[in-house]
Amino acid sequence: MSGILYLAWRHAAAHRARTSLLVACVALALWVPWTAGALAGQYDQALRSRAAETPLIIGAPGNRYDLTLAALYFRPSQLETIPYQELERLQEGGRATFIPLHMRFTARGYPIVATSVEYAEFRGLQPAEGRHALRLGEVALGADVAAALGLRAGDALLSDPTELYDISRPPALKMRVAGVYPPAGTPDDGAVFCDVRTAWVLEGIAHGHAPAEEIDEALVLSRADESVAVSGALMEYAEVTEENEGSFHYHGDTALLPLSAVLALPASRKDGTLLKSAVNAEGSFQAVTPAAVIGDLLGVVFRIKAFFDLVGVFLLGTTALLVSLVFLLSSRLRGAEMRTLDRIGAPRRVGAGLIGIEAALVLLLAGALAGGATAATLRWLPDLVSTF
Amino acid sequence: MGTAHLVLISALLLAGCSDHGATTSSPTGFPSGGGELRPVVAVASGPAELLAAAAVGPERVERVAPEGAPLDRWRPDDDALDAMVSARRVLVLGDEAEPWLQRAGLPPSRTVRLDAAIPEASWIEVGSFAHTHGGGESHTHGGVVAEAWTDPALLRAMAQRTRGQLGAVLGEGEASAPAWTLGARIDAYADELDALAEALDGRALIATHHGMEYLCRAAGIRLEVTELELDGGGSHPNDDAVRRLAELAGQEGAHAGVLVWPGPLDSAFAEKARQELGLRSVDFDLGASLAGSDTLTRLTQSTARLRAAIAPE
Amino acid sequence: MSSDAASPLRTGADLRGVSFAYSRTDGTRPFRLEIEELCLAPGEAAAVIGPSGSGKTTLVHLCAGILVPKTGEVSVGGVRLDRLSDGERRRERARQVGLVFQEFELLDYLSALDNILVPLRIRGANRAELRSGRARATELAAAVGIADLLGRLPAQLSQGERQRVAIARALVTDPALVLCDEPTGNLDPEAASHAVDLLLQQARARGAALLMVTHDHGLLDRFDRVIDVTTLARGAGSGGPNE
Repeated sequence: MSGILYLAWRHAAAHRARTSLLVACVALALWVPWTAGALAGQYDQALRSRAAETPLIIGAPGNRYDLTLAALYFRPSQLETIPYQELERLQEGGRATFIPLHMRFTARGYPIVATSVEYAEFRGLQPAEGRHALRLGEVALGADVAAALGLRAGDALLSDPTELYDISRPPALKMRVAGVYPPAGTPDDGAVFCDVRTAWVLEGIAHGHAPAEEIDEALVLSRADESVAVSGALMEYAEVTEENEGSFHYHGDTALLPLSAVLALPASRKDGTLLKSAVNAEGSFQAVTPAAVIGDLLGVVFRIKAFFDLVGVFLLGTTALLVSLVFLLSSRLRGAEMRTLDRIGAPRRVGAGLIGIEAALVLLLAGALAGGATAATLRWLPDLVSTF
Repeated sequence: MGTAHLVLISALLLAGCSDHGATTSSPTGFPSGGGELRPVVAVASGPAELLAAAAVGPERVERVAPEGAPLDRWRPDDDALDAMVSARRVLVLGDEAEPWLQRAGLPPSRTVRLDAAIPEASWIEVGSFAHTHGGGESHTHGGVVAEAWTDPALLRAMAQRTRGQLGAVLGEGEASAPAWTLGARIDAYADELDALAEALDGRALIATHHGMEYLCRAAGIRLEVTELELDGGGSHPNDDAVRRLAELAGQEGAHAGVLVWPGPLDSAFAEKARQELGLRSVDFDLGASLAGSDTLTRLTQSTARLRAAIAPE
Repeated sequence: MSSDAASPLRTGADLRGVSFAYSRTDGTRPFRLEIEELCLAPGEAAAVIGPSGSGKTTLVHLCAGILVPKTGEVSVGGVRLDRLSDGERRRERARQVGLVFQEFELLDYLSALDNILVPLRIRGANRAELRSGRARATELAAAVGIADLLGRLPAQLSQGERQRVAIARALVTDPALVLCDEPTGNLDPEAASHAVDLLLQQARARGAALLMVTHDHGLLDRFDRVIDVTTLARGAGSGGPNE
């Protein structure tokens, strides 16, 4: 058998161009479904695992897919807000740990996820350098953001302007990078984290400016015993510094400050069930189980994916038929060679053996090539889940 | 390759695999109130320290602000923030008493606010300052007197909340809560306030600061406040406030003949008030900041000292 | 292989009472080949002549075990091929018989050395057999004058060189019988003469019986005997040299 193997190998090696072409064709036909399958599996697994890791999301009534995708993957969406006091009210119930989330702004195109330090603890994010963003105007960067923008702890990052025509508000807030998180392979890598209070500054609900009694009289429109109206020309601070930090304050009741969602981490499964039913029964807000929502979402697209699986099967089948045709024609062309071997004393069906072994060699090489290409693709393709 | 490309992209965008069933949520392993957090209660104010020590024992209370740091101006440094974030609980008075809370990212699930124990109606409002600028709505600064803990009844409410909220700090196998003696001490303080009211016999107290509002209300003491806005550093007092003080001092028999300084005492002005207005200045420690002794001790002692200082009729 | 099919003594080829026939597709009367007796001693060289269609190639195929007679005995190297199964005959052919074809029939994707070693490879020779085979191939290549050409592909060789590679391939297994079917048909007279000399010389040197089909009557005097395939039925196969 080794003699036949050698002859097959020599034939394949002697016809390098043909063999390479066959290997490339088969490898390509294998690489496409393998890579798509592996990526889809990885993607699916990552989507589901992040959803499964997050027990409950509470938000304003509305599209539960939007709420879930925004809270888990920071997908831009126009979520209705819930007041901060709702988090405090839930917290009083003691059934879970509640983590605030506010996601309306971006910085250099990356989502600003305003939350609390419990979020980092929950997701296992420990700063690789610097510290968590604990102060007003501070941010901690996901690994991808830091790498893409070349930022380190101590650098500054400008928020993206949202209200270009309000001249009284700074176009952007200059935020200090307090720390950088290590790569987590999740959407957290592509986010800019800050405390919720910083988001309220971005909202314009909190701001800092010179004390009212020190304001240039030219900017004072009217002044009474207990009130003063100031011109819009009074500029608010565009950066929180150690010197001006004390001047930052909120308008109105802090309890009513907006949140996009609240992550709930129940103390037990029972607490989770009771909490979810209580929130949903009350009706003012909705509590969703991310795993179920993502399961529904992936279930909907599964049938479409099945169609593409079928296309992949057809692609493979077509390639297999074409490769078979090549070998069939090759066996015809090699008829004289087969007769010679037969007359010299080669075993019966030596021709089929030679063709079969050569085909097997081609498949083996193509499989190895497709496997390597698949591995390389999975290694080098940007993490799809983190950019979901 | 066009078809192959389409298959790849579409599969990625529309990926879904049937071999993974939807999983149900499970209780999280998130270390709420335990895990790697230090089993201490972090405090930055005297009242928080008093109540936390009573609830979990003084050995489990960690100061994050230096002794004597004024509550309304203190700003936690990075070490103080780290200490608070890594503590199982942070006990704070609220934004009014501790303005730094508006600018620090404390973990909500581990932060216990004492102002939540105060009924809305119990807050004392004083002159607020509203202003508008830019396209924003009018908003208000100041307005609520922060020193609610000086009212024995409100201090009891805060103590009650503290006991309930700090229970999780003591994990299984850790030390049990200390004996509850705070109630008796608050009673003693209330008695001292009553004694002060009795000594005043309807005369008003003149104070430089609204911080005395709650204890006066609790004891039924009439309080006249002149917002002198002196910081003890030799600054010039506000003229209107001085005029007001002179008016009050002129109403002989209506006041106790003392000028109470709940904030830092300005020696120069105190001397001037004594000579020109006949008002004896008395320092009153409201117990807001961290100090050598606890808030209740300082409040009780201040009350007793004030009673002793009241000029006999 | 049955035990009585093998003989301890090495012999060339021995055909006795052989009868072979098949129907023709063109409707003419069936082809028949009768061989009363044909013996080739080790080292003996015989030329086979006869008109086209008389059965020269059939005789070669019968001797090689490619064809099996209806009746009669065919022995090569003392082994009764007619008693063996197809697989056994193939193995015996690869071991005992060297074949040289008119078109040489080298494998175009193998070097000259690999072509020489083909009979060993197809019979599944192990490492040791291949090693000794490679040594024998080198020695044969030197003997036939292609020692420097072993790395070349057939396309890189001249007709004469390819012929020598084919001769070396036929002899590499050290066969009992070398069968040549018009091996000089594609060579010019001088090269043909040289090739026949080479074949005879190498076969004799290795003690192999040689049976060569040829139309070139100018070469016949170099053989020990000449066999006219049309006379085999009368026992001409056992006739004397250069009959």
